[in-house]
Amino acid sequence: MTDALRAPNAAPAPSAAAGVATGEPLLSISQLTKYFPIRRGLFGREAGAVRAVDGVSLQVGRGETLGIVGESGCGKTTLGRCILRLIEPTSGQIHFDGIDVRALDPASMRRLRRRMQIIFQDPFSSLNPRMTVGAIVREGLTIHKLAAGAEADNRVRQLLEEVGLRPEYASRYPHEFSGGQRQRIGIARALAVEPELIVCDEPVSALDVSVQAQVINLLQDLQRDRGLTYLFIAHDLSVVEHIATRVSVMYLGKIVELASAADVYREPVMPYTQALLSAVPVPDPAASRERIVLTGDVPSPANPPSGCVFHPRCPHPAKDAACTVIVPPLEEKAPGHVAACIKQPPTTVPWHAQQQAGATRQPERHLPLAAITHGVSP
Amino acid sequence: MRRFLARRLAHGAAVIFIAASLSFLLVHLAPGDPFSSTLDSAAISPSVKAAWRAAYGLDRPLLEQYLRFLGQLARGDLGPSLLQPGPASAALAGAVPNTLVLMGTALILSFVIGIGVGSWQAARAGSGGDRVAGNASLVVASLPEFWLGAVLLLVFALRFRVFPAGGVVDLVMHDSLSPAGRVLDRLRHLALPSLTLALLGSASIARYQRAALLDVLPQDFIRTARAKGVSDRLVLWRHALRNALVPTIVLLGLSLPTLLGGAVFVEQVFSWPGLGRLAAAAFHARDYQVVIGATIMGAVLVVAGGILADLLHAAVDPRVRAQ
Amino acid sequence: MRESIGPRIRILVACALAAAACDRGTTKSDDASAVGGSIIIAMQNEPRSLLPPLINQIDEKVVEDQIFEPLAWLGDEGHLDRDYRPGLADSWSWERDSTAIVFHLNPKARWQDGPPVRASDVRFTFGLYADSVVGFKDRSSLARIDSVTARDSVTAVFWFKNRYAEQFYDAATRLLILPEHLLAREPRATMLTSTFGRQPVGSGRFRLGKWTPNASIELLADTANYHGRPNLDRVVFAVTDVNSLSTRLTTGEIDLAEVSTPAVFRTASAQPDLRARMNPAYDYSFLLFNARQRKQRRQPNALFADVGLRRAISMGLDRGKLVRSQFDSLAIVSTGPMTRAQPLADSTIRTIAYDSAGAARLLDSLGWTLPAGKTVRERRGQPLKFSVLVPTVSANRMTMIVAIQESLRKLGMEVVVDAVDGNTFVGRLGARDFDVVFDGRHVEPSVSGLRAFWSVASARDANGQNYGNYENPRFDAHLDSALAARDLASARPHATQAFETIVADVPAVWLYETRTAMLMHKRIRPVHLVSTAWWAGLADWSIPAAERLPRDRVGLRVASR
Repeated sequence: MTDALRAPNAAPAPSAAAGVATGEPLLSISQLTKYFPIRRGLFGREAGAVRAVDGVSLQVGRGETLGIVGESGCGKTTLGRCILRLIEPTSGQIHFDGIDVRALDPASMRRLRRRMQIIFQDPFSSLNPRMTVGAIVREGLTIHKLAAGAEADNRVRQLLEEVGLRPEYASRYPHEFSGGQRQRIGIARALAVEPELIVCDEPVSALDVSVQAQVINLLQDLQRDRGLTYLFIAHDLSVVEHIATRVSVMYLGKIVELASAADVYREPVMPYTQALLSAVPVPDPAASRERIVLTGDVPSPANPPSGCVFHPRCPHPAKDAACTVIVPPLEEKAPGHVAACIKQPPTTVPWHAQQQAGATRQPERHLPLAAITHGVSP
Repeated sequence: MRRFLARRLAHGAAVIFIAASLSFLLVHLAPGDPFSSTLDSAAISPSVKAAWRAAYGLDRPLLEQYLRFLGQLARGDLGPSLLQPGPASAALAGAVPNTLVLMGTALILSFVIGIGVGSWQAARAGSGGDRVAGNASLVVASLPEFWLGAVLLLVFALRFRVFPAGGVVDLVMHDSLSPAGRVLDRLRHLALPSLTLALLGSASIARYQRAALLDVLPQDFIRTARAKGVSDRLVLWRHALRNALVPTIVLLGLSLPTLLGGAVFVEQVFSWPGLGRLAAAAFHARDYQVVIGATIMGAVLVVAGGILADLLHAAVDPRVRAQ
Repeated sequence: MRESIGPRIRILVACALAAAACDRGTTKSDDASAVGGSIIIAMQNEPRSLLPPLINQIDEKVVEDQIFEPLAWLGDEGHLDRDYRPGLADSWSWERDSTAIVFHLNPKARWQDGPPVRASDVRFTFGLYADSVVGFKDRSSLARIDSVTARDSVTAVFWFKNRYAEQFYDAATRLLILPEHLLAREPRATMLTSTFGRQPVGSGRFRLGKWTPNASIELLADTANYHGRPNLDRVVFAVTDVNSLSTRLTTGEIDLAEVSTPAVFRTASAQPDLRARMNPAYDYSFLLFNARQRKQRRQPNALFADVGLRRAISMGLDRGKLVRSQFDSLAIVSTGPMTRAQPLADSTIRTIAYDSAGAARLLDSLGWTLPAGKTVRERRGQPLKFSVLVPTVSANRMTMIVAIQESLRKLGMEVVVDAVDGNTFVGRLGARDFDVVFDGRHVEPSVSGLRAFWSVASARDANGQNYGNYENPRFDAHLDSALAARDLASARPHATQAFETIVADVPAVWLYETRTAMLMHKRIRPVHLVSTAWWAGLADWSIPAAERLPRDRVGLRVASR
């Protein structure tokens, strides 16, 4: 199982099709796991664990934008925070520019944070309500001794201008701004320390649709101007589509599909990805289409289903007893396109092994119309 | 802000006026008068007492006395004390500073202790230390003032003799000490009474502070700060505490009435010549004007506490300031 | 009454003078080492005013006796008919018919603000004390003084309406002489709030230093005093709550205190630095029955007009046990309307002994029987139930009434405790609005106060203090004979008969005489510990140089007035 998971990422030289920039990856994580213990009773006895992130491996190249998509509760936000060690991972490795992030002492970790920043989902709660915008943006500068005094003030003004805000807003408090403006403040704050990697944790999902595009455009402009690398977390594929070079889909703490954005939208392999894509709104209101409706709720990550974690809700016609037993490896289905499903050919799990596990149906390629007719951008 | 303040002040003045009127009515309706207040005074004949009442204007109809009292009050005068020479305000002026010093010190101590302990607990919420501190503060908060005062007295004044048992200054030595020695002398006498009040106050403040911090710590802006690379201690002090202080700071103003109530008992235990002792003695002796004056001082403290709470709230919360 | 006691007194006075001269000679004998020291005395109740005629409690007397002087001090033995020390007067003589006493003031006497003390001040002082509107509580004791005149500037003459045994006591000790030049223009109805009461000026050997309200009153040695300065530099009276008294005594913050609580006495007397001394008792407490209906003098009381019931209640209470368990050694069982410290008191008279079975039989014989299945006795369907008025300000009485309630419950009586605050208590006592009251009295060495509390005249006077309406002309007659006797020896048989009469009438259950213990730091060397007034010789107390504490060495700084 571990081999299967590691296989795609360990595969040398990510192809151009997967959209990975050349050279060493800026961020590389492997087998990252975060379990949240569940405590019960008077003495806090550990009664189990929520597997929020369960053995995730991936790499992000310099200048790349990796989208991470999944329903809420799939562990994507936890993954983003674990990478920055805002939450301490349970196990696994994180390498940033060759540095073993998990081995750093707190002081070195704080120094490294200059190079990796995060933008949060909620622009209302992520800004300290008792600090002025200027102080919020400035704090990073002074903490990392990048600028002080008048120079820092100038930098703050520049940054505000850069994100499309008037410099004199520096003396105001966050509550005086709209959601979109606040997210710009959040971006300015993150940019202040001149990071290389920014984890964008659903940066637009709390915003009005009308301003979402503006913020996405801003992020793209900044990436182009500064050569930033983004880990872009979102719960719906349509947002990621505009910005991501590669997309990975998460379900119950695991990556279930990972490919270039174009591949994922053109030919989603994993039935879960297919369902997500069918839910993306169609830009043309006249065009009607079928939606793949998933039955049941997302299972509890404290007690994930056996075998393929998606099997209880899976609409794949070849789904059978083997899906409840065999943990599907994340395997290459096409060049640079990995997915975890033993019923989508090709698969490294041979038929006899599936039969031993109770399989009754041969793997067969399944790509419902609903998943691809949503109008991939030309 | 100015209009808000003006409105609060007007409101406060009304509260004080009502408190003064009520206390006027109550002391005059209470049985006895300044000349019947001790067990032996039956030896003085009723005609003499009547002459005294007339001399002090107490024989007039209550309404007339009330109007006269209001007239004096409008000029900022409480009228003469009935039991000692000079105006009642002079008696209060001697006692109020002592109470303010006691309450002020207790207030500062209780917030330092309370915020310290509460923050310490919140930083390690759920740990053994947190539970021990939580239970301890619950126990302390439910202790009566005079009991805690008596315990501190027994331990620190009687058993270890590190602090004096009562009074504001050393009755003999104080005046012959150096200026620094006098300050130290005052602090030594202040220690036990202010600590008694402070411990009681800090227990509830610690609980407030812990809860407020636990509300703040999981918020995104704390994560933002950590993501910036701010150290954990700075995150706690600069980001979390400043936000978590709002409910606690508001408590600062609102705790004045409780503190004053506690001071009344503590002043008795530690022979502290403050407002509480004065009011108790004045009520016992039916020194009307001093009782009313003490009530007014109490009302002023309560009103000032409310206004202070609002001002502090505005000072620490920019969202309120804007309104 | 052929012979006046005048000559006798004069002889004694001569002796006393000589003794006092020697006495002062030794303390003053340029023994510079005797001078110095500061003592701190606990004061439970802060005085409202230090104007002597407005004396309200003992704490005030202690302070006033240092600032002011009487014409003469009662001597150490406390005998009223002999034994006096000179005060403001350094000698005195009797007019031939004993209806006038002439006091010769010390010609060197000066007020603390400078002017000399004159006979006119004595005359003014008497006028002030005797003016009813001022409010001197013992004004009745001055009733037989007709007037005071100034024969010359240093000779004051007291004229009496008739001769009696305690003439000298009344004239010489009751009045603390006041400065006319400071008080003449003070309105008399508002003396209580006169500025003088807070800034007193007298002729005593201590003067007021600093009065910090609610905290302390500091007296400083008057170095210019005509008697010579006191040994001590300073006496500070610290207002101390009874609850912290024990602690402050133990820590040495207080040097001297009168203690009336057994617990405090036990703790403090165990301290090696403190010496204990029992004061004689001058307070007695009793359950007083109202012989008449509440507020109605004409009707006899339905229950307590019956001496049998009163006697049964008295028999039913084990006073010895009640007193021991509550007071330990700080009280003794009372025998009648007196305390044993009074020279005329007779503790050998027959009192009602505890006899629970006898009390029950007596109640049965009176018709108060216990119906089957009930716990309260009844007579003609009326239950034996009454209320006792108790002031909540008296912790002693509040405690004891519970024990009394329980004792009487066992005898089949239902006692309701009617606890009221001090003001209400005084009001209801004065209006005689009670069936039984738990009352207490403070007495002087003289028994002349008995007249105000127990005489027929006082019972019939609506403003009188015979609240229980006790009337027995035989008691009045015996008492009058005792008070009119020329000396103690001849007064004693009459006094005994008076006491026997009243005790046999059971107007009250005589419960206890409380006494206080004095606790004093052992470095203090007191003199003149008069049985009625331990503080009388405070100016001659001293602290040996070798035993002085830091506070004793502070010295006499000039305090700002």
